[in-house]
Amino acid sequence: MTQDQHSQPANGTTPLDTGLRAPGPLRSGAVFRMAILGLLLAISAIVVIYLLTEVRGKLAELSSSPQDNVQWTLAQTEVEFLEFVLAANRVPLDGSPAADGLRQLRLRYDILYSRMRTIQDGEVYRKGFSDPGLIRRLSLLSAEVYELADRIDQPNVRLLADLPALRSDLTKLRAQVRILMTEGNRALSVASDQARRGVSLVLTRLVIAAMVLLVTVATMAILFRRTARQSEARLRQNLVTSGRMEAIFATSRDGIAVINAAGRIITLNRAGYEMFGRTEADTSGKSIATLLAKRTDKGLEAVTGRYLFDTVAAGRKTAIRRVGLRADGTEFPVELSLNISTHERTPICVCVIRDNVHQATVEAELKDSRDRARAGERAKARFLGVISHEMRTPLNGILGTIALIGEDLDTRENPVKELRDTYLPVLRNSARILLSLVNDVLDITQIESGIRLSARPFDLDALLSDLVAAEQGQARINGNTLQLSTLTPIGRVQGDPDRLRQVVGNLLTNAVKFTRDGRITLDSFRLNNDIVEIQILDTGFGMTEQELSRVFDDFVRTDTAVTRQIQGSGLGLGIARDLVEAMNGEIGAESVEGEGSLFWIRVPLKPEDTGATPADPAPPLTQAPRSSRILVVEDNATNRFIARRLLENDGHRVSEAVNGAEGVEEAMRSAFDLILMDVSMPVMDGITAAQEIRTRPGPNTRTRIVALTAQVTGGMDHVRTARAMDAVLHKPLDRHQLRQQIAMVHGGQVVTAPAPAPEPPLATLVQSVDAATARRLIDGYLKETDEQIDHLFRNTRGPRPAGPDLVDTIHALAGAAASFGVRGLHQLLIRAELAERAGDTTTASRLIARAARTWPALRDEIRATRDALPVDERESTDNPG
Amino acid sequence: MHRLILLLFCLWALPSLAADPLPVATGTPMLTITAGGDTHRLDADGLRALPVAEFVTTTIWTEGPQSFAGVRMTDLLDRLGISSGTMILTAANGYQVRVPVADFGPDGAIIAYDRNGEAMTLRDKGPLWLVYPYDSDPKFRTEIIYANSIWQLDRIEFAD
Repeated sequence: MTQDQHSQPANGTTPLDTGLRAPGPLRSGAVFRMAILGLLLAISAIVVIYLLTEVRGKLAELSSSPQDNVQWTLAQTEVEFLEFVLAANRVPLDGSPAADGLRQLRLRYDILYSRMRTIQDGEVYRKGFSDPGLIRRLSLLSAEVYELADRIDQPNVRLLADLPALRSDLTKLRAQVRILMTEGNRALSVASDQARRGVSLVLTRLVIAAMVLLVTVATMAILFRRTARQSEARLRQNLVTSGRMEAIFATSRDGIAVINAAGRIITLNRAGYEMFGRTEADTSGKSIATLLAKRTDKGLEAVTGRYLFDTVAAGRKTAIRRVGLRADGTEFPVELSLNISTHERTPICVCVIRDNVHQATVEAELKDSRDRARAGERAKARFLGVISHEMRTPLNGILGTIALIGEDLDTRENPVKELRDTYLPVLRNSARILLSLVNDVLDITQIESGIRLSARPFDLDALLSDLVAAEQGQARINGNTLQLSTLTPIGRVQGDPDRLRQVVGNLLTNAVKFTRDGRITLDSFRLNNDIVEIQILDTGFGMTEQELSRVFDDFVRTDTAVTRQIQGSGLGLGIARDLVEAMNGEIGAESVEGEGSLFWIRVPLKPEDTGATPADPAPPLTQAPRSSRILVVEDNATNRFIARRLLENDGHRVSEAVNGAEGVEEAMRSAFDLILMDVSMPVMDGITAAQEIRTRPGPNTRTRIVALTAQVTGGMDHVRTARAMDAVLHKPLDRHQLRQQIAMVHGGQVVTAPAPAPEPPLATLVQSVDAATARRLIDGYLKETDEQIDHLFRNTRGPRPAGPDLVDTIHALAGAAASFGVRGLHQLLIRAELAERAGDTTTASRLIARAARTWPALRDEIRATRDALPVDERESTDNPG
Repeated sequence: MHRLILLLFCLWALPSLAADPLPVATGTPMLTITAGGDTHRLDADGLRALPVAEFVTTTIWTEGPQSFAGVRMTDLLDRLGISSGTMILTAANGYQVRVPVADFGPDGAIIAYDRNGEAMTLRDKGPLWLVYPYDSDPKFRTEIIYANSIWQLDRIEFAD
């Protein structure tokens, strides 16, 4: 791998790459240019130095130049020659004394002689007279001058005699001197000119070379400057990038480690220190193996620098899961992202380390919420399944009964008695089952929108005793004994009795429902000063472990409940769980299939030791309270009618108003003991009306006002309602609750009594109608079933007749069996109906055959019940008519 | 500093040296010196009586190294008691140069009478030749020095 590949990763550039890449080399073009210029510079410098030397030489030549001197010497020679000639001419030849003249002549000759020698011998003059012709002339002239020495040195007399000849010779010589001087001068001019031209040439060359040098230097300076500027820009960019990288490095939430090729940690950022619980001293220069390890079959294996570099070289750069090692020896999952870069020409590995613990937590949270959402979906599906199934039975009962009423109205002469005695109880019972279902749903909806507890002192023993008493009837019907353990009375406690009653009542009802011919025990004891444990033990059907694990979920119905046709929404235990949790308590169950179940709750119920004797609780309301004046404010005519009938049946006097405004008017006119006020009404709503009644001077400013609402959760209205009115009753009106409200008007104290538990159909039937009616209904049922079973049996042995009649018959018969509590038959028929609908005619036929076989025995049982009915009992508390 | 000391010494020494007169000519005068109204005539013996200065050097007017012997100009100036002004030197052929007295140094010019151990004649740039040790220093190889090197020296005068 080359350096270039290091700094330019093949698959994209990460920010770290740009940050840590070493500054690249200068461009090769620039290098080439610089080399050329350097060479040029060197050559010009050499040339310049050479030329400078030459110039110096020339200048030296000029500075010691003898040219002028030579010229002067030439001129001087001629002058001295002429002086000599003049001296020769001045010597008198007429016989007058000539010694002075001769001495002068000899002096001038000597001077000339000296000059000629100087010219001939002097180095300077040899250079001056370089012209060969000139030299020759000079030699000739010198020889002529030297030859004169003998004649000059003659004694005076002879010299005097020789003087005329000398004069004539000198005249000839003078022409020679003249020529020599002229030529000498010319030669000197030429030489001088040459010397000047040489200097000029050298100087010109020097200037050219200097220009080249200057240009080269200038170009180099420009290039250097440009390079410097580029370097500076790059440096600045690097600084900015480096600063940015520094910030990223420091503020990253992931750990970032920079590792050299030997696997040593160069740096680690703050997040890294925190992640690994280490300090700079712990890590700097240490091996990466102190921080990271790889999990293999043989345990942890140290991660080395070589391993990291190889991993990147192999193309793996991200999502590398490894184990981080903290300073305290603990391990945690990490995810690595790697890359290789170069720093100061050595390869480094940048390792981004993400703490995966957090991600694992987030993943777990996501999974959890997904699971919860799915559980919610399943609960919804269960809810729809259970509710729709459970509603079908009573609705079938109602529809069937209505059909029968229709028939009777057509055929019978006096259908009123039949209607009242036979059909109304069935309708009432079915409607009540429906209401119970809806109430459960309402309860859970309320609980989900927030449970409000109102803690107050109450007698726990009395509460439990009441619950047991209320459940006794149903327990008897199922052949159970229900008893309250009174070994450890607990006495008065502080808590929410309503919620506790709901929970324990539910558990107790369940125990009674799921036990046949067994024993149910309710036990309570104090665990400590805070906590009271209440146990409900039964010897019933019990549950499988799987059922036990889901029993507190919403809308869960056990197989036993389904197959044994035990009514219920599947919400009871879910509601109980929510309530107990709201009370900061615990709920639990243990069970062995076929042997029974134990449900327990542990709730904080502090003992109330006021010492004062509490007011005696009012006895449970089994009788209607004394007659009261009651105003019903309600816009719906049916609801108004029902309320009026319910109240009048209890002997109260009822006034009506159709909206809030009318209600206020009515309240202004006369005094009432109780006002039942619908919340949402036209003209004026119930809340406003209640406020009016409270604030306007009138006879009812302090009268108890009870809201009637169909709303489950009220939002704003809910709060306003609670503020404006004394209590809230949910529609449809429950006679029992209504009685309680009326009782509170008179007693001035909240008196609670257990609501009657939903009862099984046959028992309800028996209790809610007079014995004669019951007998008649039972007779009708037995007769119809006798016929229909036979009919079915015959029609299912072979190919089915066309049409849905058969399924409808099975369905109707099953419904009837349910209504009369003939469970064995009901089960068989339900299964037969399902099989028939599914097209499984064989199974359906077999089941119907079984039903037909078992029917006679069942019929005998029912007949026995019928025969046991008292002959003269006519009244039932539930019968308003 | 040294120069200052030397100058002080010279100032102190001047009167005693000045008291030492130049020899008076008995034969044919070779050199006539006119200084401050006095005229000194020096013949060959008188010149040779003065301290002798010698050196060997080449000249641009001769061929090969030449040894010269003569009187150092500074010695002569000391004896004359002259330290400033301009010296005017004149040759037999009429050639004349003017040299500032201060330009003469103790390492510089001499008035030579012998060349290569022989007395110089008028035919051979004699009998007196002001020569510098041209080879000893580049400062003696300039046009001015060459022009100052007067041969067939005949008279010396002084001017302010």
